[in-house]
Amino acid sequence: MNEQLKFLVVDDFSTMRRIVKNLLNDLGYKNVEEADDGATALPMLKGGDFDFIITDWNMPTLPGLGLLKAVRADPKLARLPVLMVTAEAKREQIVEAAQAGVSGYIIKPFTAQTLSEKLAKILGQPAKA
Amino acid sequence: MAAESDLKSEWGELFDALSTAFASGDRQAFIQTLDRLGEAREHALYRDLRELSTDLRVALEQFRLDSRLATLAGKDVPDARVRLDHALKITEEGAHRTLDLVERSCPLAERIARQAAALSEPLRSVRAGLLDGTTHPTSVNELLSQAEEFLAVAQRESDLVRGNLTEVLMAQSSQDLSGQIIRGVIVLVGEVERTLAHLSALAGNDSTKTPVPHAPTPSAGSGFGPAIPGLTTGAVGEQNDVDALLADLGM
Repeated sequence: MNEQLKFLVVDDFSTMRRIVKNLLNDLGYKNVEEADDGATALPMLKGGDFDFIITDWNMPTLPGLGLLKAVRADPKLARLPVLMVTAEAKREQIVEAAQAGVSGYIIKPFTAQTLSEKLAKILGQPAKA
Repeated sequence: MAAESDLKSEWGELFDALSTAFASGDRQAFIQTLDRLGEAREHALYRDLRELSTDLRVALEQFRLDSRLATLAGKDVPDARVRLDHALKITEEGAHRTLDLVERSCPLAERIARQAAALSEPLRSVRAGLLDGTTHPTSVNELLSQAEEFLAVAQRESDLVRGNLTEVLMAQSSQDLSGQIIRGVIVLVGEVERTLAHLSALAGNDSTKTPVPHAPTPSAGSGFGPAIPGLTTGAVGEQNDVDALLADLGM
């Protein structure tokens, strides 16, 4: 596994950003940056060499779905894996995210194991216990 | 008498002029005064009509507010109470989960510390015996077995503590979930406040106030927030349901 992968964690709650960042660190990924909204994430993504996006859905300015669509519409970013980690649990939303090209979908509250499994699946690696 | 004097002050001048022109047979003055009378009458009619339309607008506004207030009082506020109950439950569960894990971890850390402390005396005595030649090989062997046993316990229990710390980390996600719910209720309270303020302004006939903007309605695109048991419809239960749904979609 490539520990140098650069992650962007997007969530308007700082507690959740810290949780995801700590979990990523536990899994060996130390290169993690944070953004508090889709609107602040997008310029970071365009300006930085990120490898993976983990995003919330419900955010004040640019929600995660909008961020996902913007990423998929940008030729430079289109192929980035986007893992949605959200409390949004309606079927229609999960279907919409899938249609917009989400790479994985985790509903909150989630476990460390779930995050590890989904990451591994998206990155094509065996999951860490 | 008041009505009579109103009538005189409103129409007296024109009526006198009309009657003077009629008596003197001044046809031109008579016609001109008659025209002025007609204009004045029209003006009064327009004024009444304007007043009526203002009253109507205020009444409609009041009605719109009343119906919004009915929705707020009948549905949104009771729903908010359910939401807040759920937020309370989430934070309580999160706090208990954290406390459980701390209570479970403390004895593990204490046992490691206690066993480490228990090793120091035999270590010191064996080292001293080695220096003055009194230590028998069986004592060394015993000490090493004891140390091995301790290392195994320390490793196993440190792993347990480490796992518990990860769980403590995850338990903090209750802040995010309850925070999302509380934010939604804050938006609603803001709308209730503005609606009531506007209603009271209307009651004081202060119709200059701008209408109350509705709080933005949550949508699929912007997000609904955490699913609330008993309120949210069409939501999946847990991660397995999401995985199954995505699998159905070919992911």
